[in-house]
Amino acid sequence: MKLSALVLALVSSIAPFSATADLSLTGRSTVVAMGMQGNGQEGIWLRGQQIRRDLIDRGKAYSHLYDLKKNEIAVIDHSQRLATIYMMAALNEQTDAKVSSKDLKLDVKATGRSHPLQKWKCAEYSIDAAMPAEVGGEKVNFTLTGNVWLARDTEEQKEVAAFIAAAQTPEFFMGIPALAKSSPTQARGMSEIVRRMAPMGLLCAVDVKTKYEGTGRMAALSNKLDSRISLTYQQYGSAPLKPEVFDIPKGYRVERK
Amino acid sequence: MFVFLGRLTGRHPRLIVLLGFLLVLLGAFYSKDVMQRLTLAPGWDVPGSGSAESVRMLREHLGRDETQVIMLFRPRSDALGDVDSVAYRSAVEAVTANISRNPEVKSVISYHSGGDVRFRSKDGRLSYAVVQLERAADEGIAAFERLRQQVQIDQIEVMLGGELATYVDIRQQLARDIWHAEIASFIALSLLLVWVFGSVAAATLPLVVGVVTIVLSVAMLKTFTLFIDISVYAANVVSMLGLGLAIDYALFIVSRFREELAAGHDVNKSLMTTMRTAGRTVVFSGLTVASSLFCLHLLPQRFFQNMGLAGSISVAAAMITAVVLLPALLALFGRHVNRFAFPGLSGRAAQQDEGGRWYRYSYFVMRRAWLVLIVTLGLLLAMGLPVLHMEIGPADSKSLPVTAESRQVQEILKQRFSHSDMGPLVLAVQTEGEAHSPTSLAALDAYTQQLRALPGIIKISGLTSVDPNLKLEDYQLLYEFPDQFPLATETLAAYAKGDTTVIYVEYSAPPSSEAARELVKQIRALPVPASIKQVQVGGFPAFHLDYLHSLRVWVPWTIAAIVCVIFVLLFFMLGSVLIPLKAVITNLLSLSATFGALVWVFQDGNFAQWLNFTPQGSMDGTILVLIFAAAFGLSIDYEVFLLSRIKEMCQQTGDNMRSVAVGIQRSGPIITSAALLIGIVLGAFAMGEVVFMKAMGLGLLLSVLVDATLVRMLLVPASLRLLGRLNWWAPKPLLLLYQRFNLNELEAHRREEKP
Repeated sequence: MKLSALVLALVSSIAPFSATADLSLTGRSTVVAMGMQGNGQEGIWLRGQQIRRDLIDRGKAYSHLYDLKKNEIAVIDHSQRLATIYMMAALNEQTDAKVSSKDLKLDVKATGRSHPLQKWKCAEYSIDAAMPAEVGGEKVNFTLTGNVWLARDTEEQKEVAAFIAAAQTPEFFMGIPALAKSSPTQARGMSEIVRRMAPMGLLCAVDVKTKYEGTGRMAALSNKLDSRISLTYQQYGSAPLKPEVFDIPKGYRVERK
Repeated sequence: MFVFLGRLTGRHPRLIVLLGFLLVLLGAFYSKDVMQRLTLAPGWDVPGSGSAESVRMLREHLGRDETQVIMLFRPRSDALGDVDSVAYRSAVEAVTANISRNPEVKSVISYHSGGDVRFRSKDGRLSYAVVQLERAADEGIAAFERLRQQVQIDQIEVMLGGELATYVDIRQQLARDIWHAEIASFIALSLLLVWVFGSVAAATLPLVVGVVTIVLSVAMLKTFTLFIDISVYAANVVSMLGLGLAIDYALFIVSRFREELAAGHDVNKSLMTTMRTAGRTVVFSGLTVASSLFCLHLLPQRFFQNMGLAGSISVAAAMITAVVLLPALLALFGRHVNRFAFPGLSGRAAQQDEGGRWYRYSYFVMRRAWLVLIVTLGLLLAMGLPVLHMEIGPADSKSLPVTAESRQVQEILKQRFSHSDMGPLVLAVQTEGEAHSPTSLAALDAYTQQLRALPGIIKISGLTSVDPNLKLEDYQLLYEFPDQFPLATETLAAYAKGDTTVIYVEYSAPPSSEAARELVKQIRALPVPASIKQVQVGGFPAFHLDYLHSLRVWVPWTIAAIVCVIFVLLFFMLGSVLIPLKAVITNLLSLSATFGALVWVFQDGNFAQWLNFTPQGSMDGTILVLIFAAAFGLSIDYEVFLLSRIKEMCQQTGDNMRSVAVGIQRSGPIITSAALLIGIVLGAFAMGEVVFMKAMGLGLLLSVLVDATLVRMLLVPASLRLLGRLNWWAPKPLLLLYQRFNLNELEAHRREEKP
């Protein structure tokens, strides 16, 4: 499972739901798992119903293009000049076979603290999400706990309505496609978190831990593995974006899954 | 054969020159892409050794062939702040972003991306990143060159280091050095040849032979690249040895031809005599040098085999050009060979008479033979004394000038960082079943525990040593369901495939140190748990340990082969048992003196400032082997020229002392000139910036000088005088063998003249 998938899901969901304005957010993320740490730059761009997220993972550049009109996700490996396209409907089918969205328990509470991001005032919330899962034949709860910082009542937030609407459609899927097959619970859980938190505001930062909770050996192992993700946006902008930002670069191989 | 060659070249000189000209044009055209066909990777690895097996297993089983590059970030100004400043981090990330789309880069871990404080300098002003290139060898080198272009930005200075970077820097510096050396030596040779011959026309001929030899050698080299991998270093051997020998051979032949002309013979007769005497000696000498170099094929490394092949090719090309094209040119030139003479020089060049300076000097030495012998042997042994404390070590970035980037990186990492990740030991492990099966993991864990207990280990990375919080049973569970845990699938893919897995071992000792090699020995001595089929230890210290071991095993055999081959050839040339024995012993002494001087200079650091290099603390084994093979061949080469003249006189007069004196008188000036000429070529290489090329140039130059002075001027006349009649003695059965197959000029001439 890619931990960065969790970042992506959170980021993509609650960050820039602006239907008409173009929005850019850039910042830094940290992923800790398996005793390793990965820090890097993150960028997310939104134009209409298209989202692009760029990241560098261990020195390799990747992009994820989400098109909520076509209900497609393109995962681009720039070093290989390869774009793999996934249909959201097919991904939903994979996850729905294992788990239902209704099973997600999500508790988001304001802590009363905040921090600024340029003109935005980012309010801090504690987040506590849990979803039942079966891992290695063992019943566990997949949990995600920590804090998120959201900016509400901003000029940029006015345009998110259309995107929130799109997030409520049955075809909507947000996350890493590969995860839908290997870890359907996590994939479904993350997509559901996106759906529910989308109306709450624009994401400024997030700092969460994930693990399996339970009494069996998988949960015990999960407790030993420190899996954390954090993301802090440092800058946002609303300069118009060129349409090609959301296209697969010319000359890349395209594979459809 | 030589009479036939003499006749042929005398009758059809224009045709032969024309054919030679066409062949050179064709050869130049044919070999224009030779540099692209040569492998950049030198081929120093020992086939079948642990380090080579480790590379093979990882490549074949894991599909891994990566090479590590260190990327050091040095601020161009203080304004950038320390490594934790936003400006510094942004600059670093701009560089890593530049290479993030490079398909040749497998991964990049920097201080900022990985958070490992070991990647940060002690004072917090510098940091570095480890770049893994997807491929090693030639592809890796080409990828490195492209990487170097990609990482240059204005905000921060990016310096590349590590084993591959050092190799590339050495290669590039060598290319520059060799180019400068070739230009310098060609100019110096031209002037010196005019001085030696006293005539511009005669001086031109060796240069023509040199150029033709290089073109032919390169064309032959290209042909061999169609069938086998040949290192790019072979081209350097061809240019260095080819030019030197071609000029030497041409010098002997042109000198003899002029000597015959000066004796009043016509052009045809002079040519015939030249071919019968000097021509035959050149072929024999070429055979000797080529055989000596060819013995390098006994060593298992492709590098030495390539050098042996390249050396043999250049000797063959020089020999063929000297005995086919050069006689045709001499026939065309005729007496015009002495044209454009410089009055002062031409008279000196013609002095070959009995009773000359060399003749008188020889008598001076022979009258004090015992004294000279003892003093000379004492001197040679004294010069060879430093060999007793010779250390063999690898060539690393210290070989480069201090201005070289990879060397600076190594120095900075050593001085300013608490630990430098210059390349871990790479253990390729094959398990009984899948590497991530519970049984294999248990075995791997037990093995890893043993590794941890060894002194000097800093960090171990492998399937069972990823997260310090995890125990064996955790790993067994983790890899049973890798999809379910963050980064577990990626970790599994990074370390294992099928029944093969890799363990990286970081250690505290410098990679080229004895301590690092000792650690490899300790790892290899560890008992391997039952579920592990094999463990092969790779990485630089392991490679070097295997390399040294192979030298220890194979060099004595190579030396023995060279000595035997030369002894046999000398016997068939001279019909003597003692003279070849003496020649071999004196050459070994001469070489030990040369090696002693090299140790004194390069290992101990004497004259380091004057010669502009950093004392190495050890000698590069590769260079010593190459010097031995080339110098032994060259020394024998001169010995052959001298002894063939002495034998010629001895057969005519039967007077040992007179024969030695006349032989030295007649060959001395030519051999000295030849030594001077080849010394210039080799000396030009000694002016290079890369230490081992400097050592190679200086070593060969020293061996030529020792041979031309101590050996040939003192040891040879003294020992020939003392041996007296025994000089030409051989047991009866051997004598019969010699009479049947001998290569001697006069006797062969007599045989050829019989109907």
